[in-house]
Amino acid sequence: MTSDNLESEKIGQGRFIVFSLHSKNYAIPLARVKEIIRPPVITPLPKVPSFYKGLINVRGQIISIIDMRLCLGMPEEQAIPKKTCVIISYVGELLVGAIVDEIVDVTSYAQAEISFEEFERGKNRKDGVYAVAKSAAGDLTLLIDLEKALEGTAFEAAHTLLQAS
Amino acid sequence: MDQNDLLNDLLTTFTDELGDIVEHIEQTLLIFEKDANNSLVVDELFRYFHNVKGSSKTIGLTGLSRYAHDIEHILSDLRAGEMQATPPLIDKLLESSDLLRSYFVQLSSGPKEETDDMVEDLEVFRKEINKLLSGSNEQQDQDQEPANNQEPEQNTNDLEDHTRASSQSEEADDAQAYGVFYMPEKKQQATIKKEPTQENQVKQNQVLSQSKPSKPLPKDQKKAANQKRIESIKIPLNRIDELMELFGEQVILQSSLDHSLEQDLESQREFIEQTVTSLKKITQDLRYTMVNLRMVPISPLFSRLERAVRDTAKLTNKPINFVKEGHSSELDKSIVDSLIDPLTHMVRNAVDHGIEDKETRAQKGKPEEGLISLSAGRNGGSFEMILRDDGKGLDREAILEKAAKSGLISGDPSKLSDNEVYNLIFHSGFSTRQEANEISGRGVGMDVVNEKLKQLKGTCLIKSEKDVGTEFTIKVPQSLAMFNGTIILVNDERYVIPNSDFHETISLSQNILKKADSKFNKIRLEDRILTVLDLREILAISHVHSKNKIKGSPYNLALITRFDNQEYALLVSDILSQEQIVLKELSKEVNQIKESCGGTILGDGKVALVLDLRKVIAGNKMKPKLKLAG
Repeated sequence: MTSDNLESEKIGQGRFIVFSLHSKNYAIPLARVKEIIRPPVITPLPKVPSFYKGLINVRGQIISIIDMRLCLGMPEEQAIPKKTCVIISYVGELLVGAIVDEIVDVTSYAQAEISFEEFERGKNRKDGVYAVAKSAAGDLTLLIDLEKALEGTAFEAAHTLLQAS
Repeated sequence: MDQNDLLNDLLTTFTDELGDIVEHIEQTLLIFEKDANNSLVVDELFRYFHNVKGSSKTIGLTGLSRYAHDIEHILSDLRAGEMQATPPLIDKLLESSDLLRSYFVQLSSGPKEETDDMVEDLEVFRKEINKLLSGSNEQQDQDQEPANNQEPEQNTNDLEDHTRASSQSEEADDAQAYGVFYMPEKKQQATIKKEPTQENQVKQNQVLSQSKPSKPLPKDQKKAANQKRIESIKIPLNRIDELMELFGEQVILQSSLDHSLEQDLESQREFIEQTVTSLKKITQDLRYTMVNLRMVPISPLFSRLERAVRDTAKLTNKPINFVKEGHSSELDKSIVDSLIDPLTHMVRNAVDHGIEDKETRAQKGKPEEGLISLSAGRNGGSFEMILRDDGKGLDREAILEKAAKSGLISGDPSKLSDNEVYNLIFHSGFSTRQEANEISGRGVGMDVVNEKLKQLKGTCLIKSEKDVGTEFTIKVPQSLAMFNGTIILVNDERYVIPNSDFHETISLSQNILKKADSKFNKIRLEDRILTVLDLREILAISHVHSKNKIKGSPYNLALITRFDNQEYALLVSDILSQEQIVLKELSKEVNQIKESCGGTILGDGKVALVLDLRKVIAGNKMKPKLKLAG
């Protein structure tokens, strides 16, 4: 995947996977997603922030898993059985599993449906949301950059926290 | 572009080949030294250098080619009987193989082409050889030469220019002589380099940055080059066939499982069970065969060591008989590679510190020739190498005196066991030699050895007897990817600890723990002092375990490990089992957890962290100050 490609996905071309968190819809580019699995057995890790749930085994590969709710500062809720999913996707160079409430849809957006304006000003938003897409039915979906979401707050905090300890 | 690709391929192949050839040359030279009249050996050497000459010429490594040509010349003179295999000549030849090795190292780690620095080293050497050939080899040359070789970087610019100029003209001559054309790139570089004399500052900067590649690469660039190179090993074809066969079987079993799933499951039950059992066996075999793919014979390591013994023996003027055993046994490639440095240091030490000089040996009634033996082979799940010398043995008193002086120990030294005393030599800054010399004795050696071995999850045991000799037993795992580990329970989670990391498990009574001194958490167990660390607290999962929820067994099980000559007891919740562990590297966000050195997947499919006890201790001990007793 070239960076050009990535850039075009980010600005709203290509297909997106839509998931829900705390009854809000979020979307990330499908091309970054490796697979979606049911929540597996998680091995928790010592000395990590609470959103960093631990490690999972995906067919012999060990992958870190994070809780998107906690990551975005939402209340942690007991998983809704049967609907909770783990999206395994590339965040930067890392393959990371993200726990989300529910997978809603796989879709693509017409250019007209996406609005960047509201987020232009707050380019440095910490949650990584960079645009909003409005579907024909009027539902709003936030386009989120996971790398940005983890940057600063999340994994990086984990890094520095761990380095300090 | 295509031609460049081809050339690159050729270069990679040649570089790999060159590594092998260097090993062979060195091995053959050592045989040659012992058996100088054997014309077969000279023939073999000749073939190797001829091979280097031919291949390097084809791919444009002209400096190397000229170099190989000159050495070939000596060898052909030797073969024709026009020259005698004198000790200085053999030294020279060995030196030439050293130079070849350093050329190889630079070529394989660096810029993928001949740099001026590399050629320069070869050119200096060539000039000496030519003197040798013209019969004017006087002892003076021999003495001067090594200094030149050790510090090639200190050459002045003048010299550089001079050599380059001369090498260029020779290049042209050679081209005619061999009728081979040369790559024009190198000459371009040389001309670019001269431009900085111009006044234009901007241009100068540009030029400087352009000419960089021919200078020693800056560190980060070098790193990048290192990462790009893919290491390769030779794998016997039958191992790959074996793998194919196993894999074929696996596919068949898989399809018969698929087939039986289509039918009534209950009636197929027995068949399915059988098939799963066979699959299990094959998977195990596959794993074993896969791990074996990384195994290489350790003979190159042995020949490197033999060379080190030979050189050190010469320098110290001690005749040494080096006996090697088990040099065809196999070990993981990366382990073989990382053993080279520590073992080289140890055999040098054995010659320099261990073996007495001739006179002393005569006084003691020992044979004049010192004996150093190295044996290697599998022992249980690990690989064992035993290095013995029949020298003077380790001096307990001298070690203790030195240790006390440098503050390594306090209290009554008579309480320390021999083994504890011997282990002191692994500390940094430790050397019992009065004065440092160029071989060993700077006291930076054994601690590096120790560190390297620990990185490999290896251990070193020392036995020694005065005037009889010293024996080092080095144990390393056969493969880095697999090791014997113990599965422990800490709170609710399972962790793996390599068996090499601890040496004892004990159960501490509550009473003893209560008596722990509050400041350092030290307890006394009979005559031992243990520092207690509670893994259950260290590894507590912050948002789950509060202090009072920490789980323990009523027996207070603890693993005992030694770190910096201090014993630590690490409390765990339970000790579950021992298993062969397949180590998996974790991605970088997990690597930040300092206590772990990787992960593994347990039998039930759950992930477990592999702990590195040394890191656990280093990160959590309260006072780094070392106190052995009192």
